Amino acid sequence: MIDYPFLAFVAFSTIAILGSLMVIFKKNPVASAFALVAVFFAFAGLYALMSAHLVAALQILVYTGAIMVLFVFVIMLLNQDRPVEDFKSSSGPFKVISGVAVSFLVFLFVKVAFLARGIVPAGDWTVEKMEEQGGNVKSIANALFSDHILQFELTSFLLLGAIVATIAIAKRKGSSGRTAP
Amino acid sequence: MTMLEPWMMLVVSLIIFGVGLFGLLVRKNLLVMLMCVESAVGLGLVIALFRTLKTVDSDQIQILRD
Repeated sequence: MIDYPFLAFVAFSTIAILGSLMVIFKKNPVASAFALVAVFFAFAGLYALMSAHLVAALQILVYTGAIMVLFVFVIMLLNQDRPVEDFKSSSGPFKVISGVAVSFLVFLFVKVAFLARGIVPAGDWTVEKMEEQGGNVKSIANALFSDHILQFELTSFLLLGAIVATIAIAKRKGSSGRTAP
Repeated sequence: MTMLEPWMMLVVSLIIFGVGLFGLLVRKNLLVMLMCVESAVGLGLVIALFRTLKTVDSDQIQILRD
């Protein structure tokens, strides 16, 4: 019997890992951005496999739809849609040391993850509990707008502050915000 | 049928975290560095830096040192 969820997991994981490698090894930032789009779609697939359908939909709407458009817009705005050799210009020993250090770190984390194999999800946020409450959207909305309303509002203030700060930094003193014809 | 367990997702996410961290360390193009950390707000900083310095190479951005 074909195990479709496991096959889908392997496929999405492979796309996500290969896509993330392409993001850092592609010379052209536009190619990196499109590889990142593939990674985001693979993430959405993985979220759906974990029964987190709301997060999967948000992943596509927010990251793939909005943030990636912003990235491509900035790449075009800064006229950076040409190959760059910044990866080659990094020193060889630094790349090797970084690679070994990161591999060791990931190895340690993966070992800890293997130790956690026997742990079974528990609490109010298991798939079964969320289905009992009426599904992903209802249970997350209930928690967000009741128990965690303060954190939700604080986050909105934080984002507002980030937007204002970004505009303040981008609009230099004496700049009208218009370019010369 | 194989049950998808949380540790499997954890391993995949850790590998992708490692790839992102490696990219952040070895790439010098700020746009690609931001793709590695997925920070959208930072793009405003990149635009502001580019308007001032005309480059997105992090090695050439030494305004604090100067």
